[in-house]
Amino acid sequence: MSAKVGGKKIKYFHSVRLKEDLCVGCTHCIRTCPTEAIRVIDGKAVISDQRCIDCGECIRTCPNNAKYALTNPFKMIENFKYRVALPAPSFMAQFDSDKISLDKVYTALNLIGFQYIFEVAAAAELVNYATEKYLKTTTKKPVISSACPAVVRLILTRFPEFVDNIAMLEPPMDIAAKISKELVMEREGAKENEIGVFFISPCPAKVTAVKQPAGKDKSPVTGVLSMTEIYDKVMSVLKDIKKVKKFEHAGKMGIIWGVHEGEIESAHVKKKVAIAGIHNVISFFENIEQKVFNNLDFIEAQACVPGCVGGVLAPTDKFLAKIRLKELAEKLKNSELQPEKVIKRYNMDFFLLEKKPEPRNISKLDTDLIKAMEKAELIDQLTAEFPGIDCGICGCPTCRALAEDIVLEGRASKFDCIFILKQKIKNIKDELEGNEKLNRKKPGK
Amino acid sequence: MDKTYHIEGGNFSEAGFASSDVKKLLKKLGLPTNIIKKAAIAMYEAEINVVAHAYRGDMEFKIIPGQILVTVQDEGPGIPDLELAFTEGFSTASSKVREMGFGAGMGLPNIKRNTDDISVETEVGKGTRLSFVINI
Repeated sequence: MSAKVGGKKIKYFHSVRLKEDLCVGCTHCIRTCPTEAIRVIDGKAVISDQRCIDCGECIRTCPNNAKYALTNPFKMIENFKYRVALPAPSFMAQFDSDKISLDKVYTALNLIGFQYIFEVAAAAELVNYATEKYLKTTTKKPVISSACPAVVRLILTRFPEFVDNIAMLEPPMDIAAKISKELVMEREGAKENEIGVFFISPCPAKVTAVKQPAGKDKSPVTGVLSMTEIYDKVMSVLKDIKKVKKFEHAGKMGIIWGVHEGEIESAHVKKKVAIAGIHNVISFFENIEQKVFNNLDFIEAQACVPGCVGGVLAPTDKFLAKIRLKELAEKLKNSELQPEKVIKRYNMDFFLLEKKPEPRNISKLDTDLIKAMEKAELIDQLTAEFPGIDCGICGCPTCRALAEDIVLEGRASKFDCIFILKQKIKNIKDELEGNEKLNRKKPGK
Repeated sequence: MDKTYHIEGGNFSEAGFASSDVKKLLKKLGLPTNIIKKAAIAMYEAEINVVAHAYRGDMEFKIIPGQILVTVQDEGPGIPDLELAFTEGFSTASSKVREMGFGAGMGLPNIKRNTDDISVETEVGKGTRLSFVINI
């Protein structure tokens, strides 16, 4: 399996990793992986670098905690004189606001080492304005939100036909990084390389989006920290807080981005739809009829249920977090950051991606149509030979995937299928027994 | 290579299965997006025609170098006036079918628009055989 973009093979970075010693080769993960990126080979899971989209489904499923999301180490912040925390909207829902106010949480962020806190929700408010403008001017409808990096990578790997529909807009995280850097440079007279901006992430795909962005060469974000790790650090220092500082907060329209249907809420278009859950996104893209698709204006698609609060790095129960975030959004309602004024400082270029994200074209069987057809026939034939129960014992997620691996990779063998192997052994046994009977008959002729 | 799909009249919820299955195959074969879209639209409309008007039918899909060939043979009422059936906006769909959002009279015209060759043989009271070709 190799993806070639612009003629050269690309090595893909991934946040989602395997702790080999914990993996027992149980095959749970291979079934839930939405891009069929995992195989169990010699008793251990192996993740395909070309297919993985860092959605984190395998982390959620693994009963042995053998999958994890690599984030930047917290110590990384010490490399910078000026340190900015960019809490994702979902971070705001991790704490019970009746007991721990948002201002108290942010004061704790100050205590653990961040001099500045810039809510990504505030950037989301600005992206709402940019999206409005983009929806009015683009000729490519429907527009698919570019905010969820796992969905963007899903489109690049499995649905290259929708690449042109991805919004050419920077996600709120990136806008937050750009603006907060500007602010610190202005306020402190700091140089850019003295400032570290760190996203507090519910999501492994965001780590990948920073390390290897789609649609630009370099991310403005310095590092991505695990929301669970930051949650623990915040909880640990709460008792040391003497005085809670006052912070300005984004309003409803930005905060609500952390949950399903939050982003489309402020898009003023007629036909909009929101999908949550990576498998739901796949089924939507696979089954939607072309005509219906063409009639849509805007699609919000998120890999997690019920939105980013359901990310694998978010510690609080996702449905509880959803309710909390909605309550918070209603309580804060109007932004204290005057987005309607701030937006005037930036032109549309500030919000646009530098270049079109490149599809990975991994679904093609061959570049030559005749060869591709031969391979497709072979895959169909082999699939028909297998029992079709997708048991996973061969290490592939489905019988068809095993057939594909045999035809396309030459790695697997059809005797990896326990049923085919058993049949083969039975045939050999019958043959041996048959020979024996013949032998036994001989003396008595 | 070829594939056959059976279509039952009145089964609106299953309509679209053949076209999305073929769409998946065409993607794997690496065909250009515009060809895949044309094939998906034409096949979907043809499926809907059988579901909305006929009793049952079979759809045969075939791909050979240079061409996609589709034939849909149905048992159904047939088409009394072919010229009218190819007129945009003309429909004989029942009010029940229209209530479901189908029967806008765009079926055959839409197939024609998305294909490079189309032929229809029909016998009133017996059924219809629709064939179309998309050049690749």
